[in-house]
Amino acid sequence: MGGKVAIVADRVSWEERQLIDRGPEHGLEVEWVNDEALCLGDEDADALKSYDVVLIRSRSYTRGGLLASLAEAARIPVLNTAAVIQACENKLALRVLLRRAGVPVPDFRLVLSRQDFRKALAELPFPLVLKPIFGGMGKRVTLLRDPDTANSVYDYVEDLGHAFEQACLVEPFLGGGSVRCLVVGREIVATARFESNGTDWRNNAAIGSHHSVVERDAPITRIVDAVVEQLGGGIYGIDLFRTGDGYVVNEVNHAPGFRAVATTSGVDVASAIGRYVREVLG
Amino acid sequence: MTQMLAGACPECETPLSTPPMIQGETMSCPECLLTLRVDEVQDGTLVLQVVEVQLRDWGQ
Ligand SMILES: Nc1ncnc2c1ncn2[C@@H]1O[C@H](COP(=O)(O)OP(=O)(O)OP(=O)(O)O)[C@@H](O)[C@H]1O
Ligand SMILES: [Zn+2]
Repeated sequence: MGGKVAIVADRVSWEERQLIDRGPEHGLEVEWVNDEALCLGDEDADALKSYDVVLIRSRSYTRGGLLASLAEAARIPVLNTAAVIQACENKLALRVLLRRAGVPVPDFRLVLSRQDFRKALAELPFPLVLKPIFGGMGKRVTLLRDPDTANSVYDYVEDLGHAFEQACLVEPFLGGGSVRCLVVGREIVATARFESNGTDWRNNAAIGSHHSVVERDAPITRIVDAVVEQLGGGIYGIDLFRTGDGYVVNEVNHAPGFRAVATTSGVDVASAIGRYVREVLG
Repeated sequence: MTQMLAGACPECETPLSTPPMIQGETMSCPECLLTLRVDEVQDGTLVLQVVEVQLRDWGQ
Protein backbone atom coordinates (compact mmCIF):
# COMPACT_ATOMS: atom_id res chain seq x y z
CA MET A 1 0.00 0.00 0.00
CA GLY A 2 1.12 3.55 -0.68
CA GLY A 3 1.92 5.87 2.14
CA LYS A 4 1.11 9.41 1.08
CA VAL A 5 -0.47 11.29 3.94
CA ALA A 6 -2.05 14.74 3.72
CA ILE A 7 -2.16 16.72 6.94
CA VAL A 8 -5.05 19.05 6.30
CA ALA A 9 -4.53 22.01 8.62
CA ASP A 10 -4.33 25.77 8.79
CA ARG A 11 -0.60 25.62 9.53
CA VAL A 12 2.27 23.39 10.61
CA SER A 13 2.79 23.67 14.35
CA TRP A 14 4.95 21.56 16.65
CA GLU A 15 2.61 18.54 16.37
CA GLU A 16 2.36 18.58 12.57
CA ARG A 17 6.12 19.03 12.22
CA GLN A 18 6.65 15.95 14.40
CA LEU A 19 4.24 13.96 12.25
CA ILE A 20 6.02 15.06 9.07
CA ASP A 21 9.48 14.28 10.50
CA ARG A 22 8.54 10.85 11.93
CA GLY A 23 6.62 9.74 8.82
CA PRO A 24 9.49 8.11 6.92
CA GLU A 25 10.19 5.75 9.88
CA HIS A 26 6.77 4.26 9.17
CA GLY A 27 7.03 4.34 5.39
CA LEU A 28 4.89 7.46 5.23
CA GLU A 29 5.40 10.56 3.15
CA VAL A 30 3.58 13.25 5.09
CA GLU A 31 2.74 16.63 3.59
CA TRP A 32 0.91 19.71 4.79
CA VAL A 33 -2.15 20.71 2.78
CA ASN A 34 -3.66 24.14 3.38
CA ASP A 35 -7.18 23.65 4.76
CA GLU A 36 -8.44 26.93 3.35
CA ALA A 37 -7.57 26.33 -0.28
CA LEU A 38 -9.02 22.88 -1.08
CA CYS A 39 -12.35 23.92 -2.55
CA LEU A 40 -13.69 20.38 -2.10
CA GLY A 41 -17.07 19.21 -3.37
CA ASP A 42 -16.39 17.71 -6.78
CA GLU A 43 -16.05 13.97 -6.06
CA ASP A 44 -13.43 13.63 -8.76
CA ALA A 45 -11.44 16.73 -7.85
CA ASP A 46 -7.67 16.47 -7.83
CA ALA A 47 -7.05 18.31 -4.57
CA LEU A 48 -6.62 15.19 -2.43
CA LYS A 49 -6.53 12.46 -5.09
CA SER A 50 -2.81 11.77 -4.81
CA TYR A 51 -3.07 10.95 -1.09
CA ASP A 52 -3.74 7.56 0.46
CA VAL A 53 -5.08 9.00 3.69
CA VAL A 54 -6.04 12.40 5.08
CA LEU A 55 -5.27 13.46 8.64
CA ILE A 56 -7.58 16.29 9.68
CA ARG A 57 -5.60 18.64 11.92
CA SER A 58 -7.48 21.90 11.39
CA ARG A 59 -7.59 23.79 14.63
CA SER A 60 -10.89 25.24 13.45
CA TYR A 61 -13.80 23.08 14.52
CA THR A 62 -15.93 24.60 11.80
CA ARG A 63 -13.56 23.36 9.10
CA GLY A 64 -12.68 19.90 10.44
CA GLY A 65 -16.04 18.17 10.11
CA LEU A 66 -16.89 19.82 6.78
CA LEU A 67 -13.58 18.86 5.19
CA ALA A 68 -13.75 15.32 6.56
CA SER A 69 -17.23 14.75 5.06
CA LEU A 70 -16.11 15.84 1.61
CA ALA A 71 -12.84 13.92 1.69
CA GLU A 72 -14.84 10.81 2.60
CA ALA A 73 -17.31 11.54 -0.19
CA ALA A 74 -14.33 11.54 -2.56
CA ARG A 75 -13.51 8.03 -1.22
CA ILE A 76 -10.31 8.96 0.59
CA PRO A 77 -9.81 7.43 4.07
CA VAL A 78 -9.94 10.16 6.70
CA LEU A 79 -8.71 10.30 10.30
CA ASN A 80 -10.67 11.08 12.34
CA THR A 81 -13.81 10.16 10.46
CA ALA A 82 -16.40 12.83 9.70
CA ALA A 83 -18.87 11.13 12.04
CA VAL A 84 -16.40 11.24 14.93
CA ILE A 85 -15.43 14.86 14.29
CA GLN A 86 -19.08 15.87 14.15
CA ALA A 87 -19.72 14.08 17.45
CA CYS A 88 -16.77 15.79 19.17
CA GLU A 89 -17.09 19.34 17.82
CA ASN A 90 -20.36 19.92 19.66
CA LYS A 91 -19.85 19.62 23.42
CA LEU A 92 -23.52 18.95 24.02
CA ALA A 93 -23.93 16.29 21.31
CA LEU A 94 -20.93 14.41 22.65
CA ARG A 95 -22.19 14.47 26.21
CA VAL A 96 -25.58 13.17 25.14
CA LEU A 97 -23.97 10.36 23.16
CA LEU A 98 -21.72 9.35 26.06
CA ARG A 99 -24.35 9.68 28.75
CA ARG A 100 -26.79 7.54 26.80
CA ALA A 101 -24.11 4.86 26.61
CA GLY A 102 -23.60 4.97 30.37
CA VAL A 103 -20.27 6.82 30.24
CA PRO A 104 -20.11 9.32 33.12
CA VAL A 105 -20.13 13.01 32.10
CA PRO A 106 -20.62 16.13 34.25
CA ASP A 107 -24.19 17.08 35.07
CA PHE A 108 -25.18 20.09 32.95
CA ARG A 109 -28.01 22.33 31.83
CA LEU A 110 -28.46 23.76 28.36
CA VAL A 111 -28.85 27.52 28.62
CA LEU A 112 -30.33 29.37 25.65
CA SER A 113 -31.91 32.28 27.47
CA ARG A 114 -32.05 34.19 30.74
CA GLN A 115 -34.94 31.96 31.79
CA ASP A 116 -32.85 28.83 31.29
CA PHE A 117 -29.97 30.47 33.12
CA ARG A 118 -32.14 31.30 36.16
CA LYS A 119 -33.46 27.75 36.28
CA ALA A 120 -29.98 26.26 35.95
CA LEU A 121 -28.74 28.38 38.86
CA ALA A 122 -31.67 27.23 40.95
CA GLU A 123 -31.12 23.56 40.13
CA LEU A 124 -27.35 23.30 40.47
CA PRO A 125 -25.31 24.38 43.50
CA PHE A 126 -22.51 26.99 43.25
CA PRO A 127 -19.67 27.11 42.30
CA LEU A 128 -20.70 26.62 38.67
CA VAL A 129 -19.06 26.84 35.28
CA LEU A 130 -20.65 28.62 32.32
CA LYS A 131 -19.20 27.69 28.93
CA PRO A 132 -20.11 28.13 25.28
CA ILE A 133 -21.23 24.98 23.46
CA PHE A 134 -19.32 26.02 20.37
CA GLY A 135 -16.02 27.08 21.82
CA GLY A 136 -12.43 26.15 22.22
CA MET A 137 -9.11 27.02 23.82
CA GLY A 138 -10.91 27.60 27.10
CA LYS A 139 -12.31 30.92 25.82
CA ARG A 140 -15.27 32.34 27.75
CA VAL A 141 -15.26 29.35 30.12
CA THR A 142 -16.35 31.19 33.26
CA LEU A 143 -16.22 30.19 36.91
CA LEU A 144 -19.30 31.46 38.74
CA ARG A 145 -18.80 31.52 42.49
CA ASP A 146 -21.96 33.37 43.47
CA PRO A 147 -25.35 34.47 42.09
CA ASP A 148 -24.43 38.18 42.04
CA THR A 149 -21.63 37.80 39.52
CA ALA A 150 -23.54 35.14 37.62
CA ASN A 151 -26.39 37.43 36.65
CA SER A 152 -24.08 40.20 35.48
CA VAL A 153 -21.99 37.75 33.48
CA TYR A 154 -25.13 36.64 31.70
CA ASP A 155 -25.72 40.26 30.60
CA TYR A 156 -22.62 39.88 28.46
CA VAL A 157 -23.85 36.60 27.00
CA GLU A 158 -27.11 38.31 26.01
CA ASP A 159 -25.11 41.01 24.25
CA LEU A 160 -23.34 38.53 21.98
CA GLY A 161 -24.28 38.81 18.35
CA HIS A 162 -25.47 35.37 17.35
CA ALA A 163 -27.68 32.71 18.85
CA PHE A 164 -24.98 30.07 18.38
CA GLU A 165 -22.56 32.14 20.47
CA GLN A 166 -25.19 32.43 23.18
CA ALA A 167 -25.81 28.68 23.46
CA CYS A 168 -24.12 27.69 26.71
CA LEU A 169 -23.81 24.95 29.25
CA VAL A 170 -23.98 25.52 32.97
CA GLU A 171 -22.39 22.74 34.98
CA PRO A 172 -20.95 22.10 38.44
CA PHE A 173 -17.37 23.24 39.00
CA LEU A 174 -15.36 20.06 39.41
CA GLY A 175 -12.18 21.01 41.18
CA GLY A 176 -10.67 17.56 41.67
CA GLY A 177 -8.11 17.98 38.92
CA SER A 178 -8.09 17.04 35.27
CA VAL A 179 -6.33 14.36 33.31
CA ARG A 180 -5.65 14.54 29.59
CA CYS A 181 -5.42 11.14 27.86
CA LEU A 182 -4.07 10.81 24.38
CA VAL A 183 -5.61 7.90 22.52
CA VAL A 184 -4.22 6.52 19.28
CA GLY A 185 -6.20 3.71 17.69
CA ARG A 186 -7.96 2.19 20.67
CA GLU A 187 -5.11 2.56 23.18
CA ILE A 188 -4.05 5.28 25.58
CA VAL A 189 -0.52 6.23 24.54
CA ALA A 190 0.10 9.06 26.99
CA THR A 191 -1.51 10.75 29.97
CA ALA A 192 -0.76 13.89 31.95
CA ARG A 193 -2.34 15.73 34.84
CA PHE A 194 -3.14 19.36 34.07
CA GLU A 195 -3.19 21.86 36.89
CA SER A 196 -3.76 25.58 36.84
CA ASN A 197 -0.46 27.46 36.79
CA GLY A 198 -1.79 29.85 39.42
CA THR A 199 -2.62 32.74 37.11
CA ASP A 200 -5.89 31.38 35.73
CA TRP A 201 -8.31 28.89 37.28
CA ARG A 202 -8.57 27.02 33.97
CA ASN A 203 -5.91 24.48 33.11
CA ASN A 204 -6.25 23.65 29.42
CA ALA A 205 -2.97 23.61 27.48
CA ALA A 206 -3.94 26.59 25.33
CA ILE A 207 -4.19 28.85 28.38
CA GLY A 208 -0.94 27.66 29.89
CA SER A 209 -0.85 25.27 32.77
CA HIS A 210 1.31 23.06 34.89
CA HIS A 211 1.56 19.43 33.77
CA SER A 212 2.67 16.42 35.72
CA VAL A 213 2.98 12.71 35.21
CA VAL A 214 -0.07 10.66 36.16
CA GLU A 215 -0.30 6.90 36.60
CA ARG A 216 -2.59 5.25 34.09
CA ASP A 217 -4.71 3.40 36.62
CA ALA A 218 -7.68 1.08 36.10
CA PRO A 219 -10.39 3.76 36.50
CA ILE A 220 -8.74 5.91 33.79
CA THR A 221 -8.37 2.97 31.44
CA ARG A 222 -11.96 1.90 32.03
CA ILE A 223 -13.56 5.25 31.21
CA VAL A 224 -11.30 5.87 28.20
CA ASP A 225 -12.11 2.40 26.86
CA ALA A 226 -15.79 3.20 27.23
CA VAL A 227 -15.36 6.41 25.19
CA VAL A 228 -13.42 4.57 22.47
CA GLU A 229 -16.12 1.89 22.44
CA GLN A 230 -18.62 4.59 21.47
CA LEU A 231 -16.49 6.54 18.99
CA GLY A 232 -14.46 3.71 17.47
CA GLY A 233 -10.70 3.83 16.97
CA GLY A 234 -9.14 7.20 16.21
CA ILE A 235 -6.85 9.92 17.49
CA TYR A 236 -8.31 11.64 20.52
CA GLY A 237 -7.46 13.97 23.35
CA ILE A 238 -9.84 12.92 26.11
CA ASP A 239 -10.23 15.33 29.03
CA LEU A 240 -11.30 13.75 32.30
CA PHE A 241 -12.26 15.47 35.55
CA ARG A 242 -11.80 13.67 38.82
CA THR A 243 -14.78 13.73 41.19
CA GLY A 244 -15.65 12.04 44.47
CA ASP A 245 -17.45 9.35 42.46
CA GLY A 246 -14.65 8.72 39.99
CA TYR A 247 -13.82 10.22 36.62
CA VAL A 248 -16.18 11.98 34.23
CA VAL A 249 -15.50 12.91 30.60
CA ASN A 250 -15.38 16.68 30.08
CA GLU A 251 -14.70 16.61 26.37
CA VAL A 252 -12.98 14.81 23.53
CA ASN A 253 -10.75 16.75 21.15
CA HIS A 254 -10.66 15.29 17.66
CA ALA A 255 -7.51 17.09 16.49
CA PRO A 256 -5.68 17.11 19.79
CA GLY A 257 -2.62 19.15 20.56
CA PHE A 258 -0.12 16.77 22.13
CA ARG A 259 2.97 18.80 22.83
CA ALA A 260 2.29 19.16 26.56
CA VAL A 261 1.31 15.51 27.05
CA ALA A 262 4.23 14.23 24.97
CA THR A 263 6.84 16.33 26.76
CA THR A 264 5.42 15.58 30.21
CA SER A 265 5.15 11.83 29.67
CA GLY A 266 8.23 11.45 27.45
CA VAL A 267 6.12 9.45 24.98
CA ASP A 268 6.76 9.78 21.24
CA VAL A 269 3.13 10.46 20.32
CA ALA A 270 3.95 11.29 16.69
CA SER A 271 5.45 7.83 16.15
CA ALA A 272 2.41 6.20 17.74
CA ILE A 273 0.24 8.11 15.25
CA GLY A 274 2.58 7.09 12.41
CA ARG A 275 2.21 3.42 13.35
CA TYR A 276 -1.55 3.77 13.55
CA VAL A 277 -1.80 5.47 10.15
CA ARG A 278 0.31 2.65 8.71
CA GLU A 279 -2.07 0.13 10.25
CA VAL A 280 -5.11 1.90 8.80
CA LEU A 281 -3.48 1.93 5.36
CA GLY A 282 -2.83 -1.82 5.58
CA MET B 1 26.43 25.93 7.88
CA THR B 2 22.71 25.66 7.31
CA GLN B 3 21.28 27.25 4.23
CA MET B 4 19.33 30.38 5.20
CA LEU B 5 16.05 31.22 3.52
CA ALA B 6 15.10 34.74 2.53
CA GLY B 7 11.80 36.55 2.14
CA ALA B 8 9.98 39.75 2.95
CA CYS B 9 7.06 40.44 5.24
CA PRO B 10 4.00 40.89 3.00
CA GLU B 11 2.64 43.49 5.41
CA CYS B 12 5.57 45.77 6.28
CA GLU B 13 8.04 44.63 3.59
CA THR B 14 10.83 44.05 6.12
CA PRO B 15 13.44 41.69 4.61
CA LEU B 16 13.61 38.42 6.56
CA SER B 17 16.18 35.68 6.75
CA THR B 18 15.46 32.39 8.53
CA PRO B 19 16.99 28.97 9.13
CA PRO B 20 15.29 26.24 7.05
CA MET B 21 11.50 26.15 7.37
CA ILE B 22 8.97 23.95 5.64
CA GLN B 23 5.67 24.79 3.98
CA GLY B 24 2.97 25.56 6.49
CA GLU B 25 5.28 26.61 9.32
CA THR B 26 4.82 30.02 10.87
CA MET B 27 7.04 32.75 12.26
CA SER B 28 6.40 36.23 13.53
CA CYS B 29 7.70 39.22 11.66
CA PRO B 30 10.36 40.85 13.90
CA GLU B 31 9.23 44.28 12.74
CA CYS B 32 5.41 44.31 12.72
CA LEU B 33 4.96 41.15 14.83
CA LEU B 34 2.29 39.67 12.57
CA THR B 35 2.23 35.88 12.20
CA LEU B 36 3.50 34.77 8.80
CA ARG B 37 2.98 31.35 7.26
CA VAL B 38 5.37 29.85 4.71
CA ASP B 39 3.11 28.99 1.78
CA GLU B 40 5.94 28.04 -0.54
CA VAL B 41 9.71 27.85 -0.73
CA GLN B 42 11.04 28.65 -4.23
CA ASP B 43 14.82 28.41 -4.75
CA GLY B 44 15.61 29.53 -1.22
CA THR B 45 12.97 32.27 -1.27
CA LEU B 46 10.01 32.22 1.08
CA VAL B 47 6.50 33.00 -0.09
CA LEU B 48 4.82 34.31 3.05
CA GLN B 49 1.22 34.95 3.99
CA VAL B 50 -0.16 36.79 7.00
CA VAL B 51 -2.34 34.46 9.13
CA GLU B 52 -4.36 34.95 12.28
CA VAL B 53 -2.64 34.14 15.56
CA GLN B 54 -5.86 32.58 16.75
CA LEU B 55 -9.34 32.28 15.30
CA ARG B 56 -12.55 32.32 17.28
CA ASP B 57 -13.49 28.74 16.46
CA TRP B 58 -10.26 27.09 17.46
CA GLY B 59 -10.05 24.24 19.90
CA GLN B 60 -7.59 21.53 20.70
N1 LIG C 1 -16.94 21.89 35.06
C1 LIG C 1 -15.69 22.30 35.23
N2 LIG C 1 -15.09 22.21 36.45
C2 LIG C 1 -13.82 22.62 36.63
N3 LIG C 1 -13.05 23.15 35.67
C3 LIG C 1 -13.58 23.26 34.43
C4 LIG C 1 -14.93 22.84 34.15
N4 LIG C 1 -15.16 23.07 32.84
C5 LIG C 1 -14.03 23.60 32.33
N5 LIG C 1 -13.06 23.71 33.27
C6 LIG C 1 -11.70 24.24 33.10
O1 LIG C 1 -11.66 25.09 31.98
C7 LIG C 1 -10.82 24.55 30.96
C8 LIG C 1 -11.42 24.77 29.59
O2 LIG C 1 -12.69 24.13 29.54
P1 LIG C 1 -13.12 23.19 28.34
O3 LIG C 1 -12.04 22.21 28.09
O4 LIG C 1 -14.47 22.67 28.64
O5 LIG C 1 -13.21 24.28 27.19
P2 LIG C 1 -12.58 24.33 25.75
O6 LIG C 1 -12.81 25.72 25.30
O7 LIG C 1 -13.10 23.22 24.94
O8 LIG C 1 -11.01 24.14 25.99
P3 LIG C 1 -10.01 23.24 25.15
O9 LIG C 1 -10.62 23.02 23.82
O10 LIG C 1 -8.75 24.05 25.10
O11 LIG C 1 -9.86 21.99 25.97
C9 LIG C 1 -10.68 23.08 31.32
O12 LIG C 1 -9.47 22.55 30.86
C10 LIG C 1 -10.73 23.13 32.84
O13 LIG C 1 -9.49 23.52 33.37
ZN1 LIG D 1 6.14 42.70 9.10
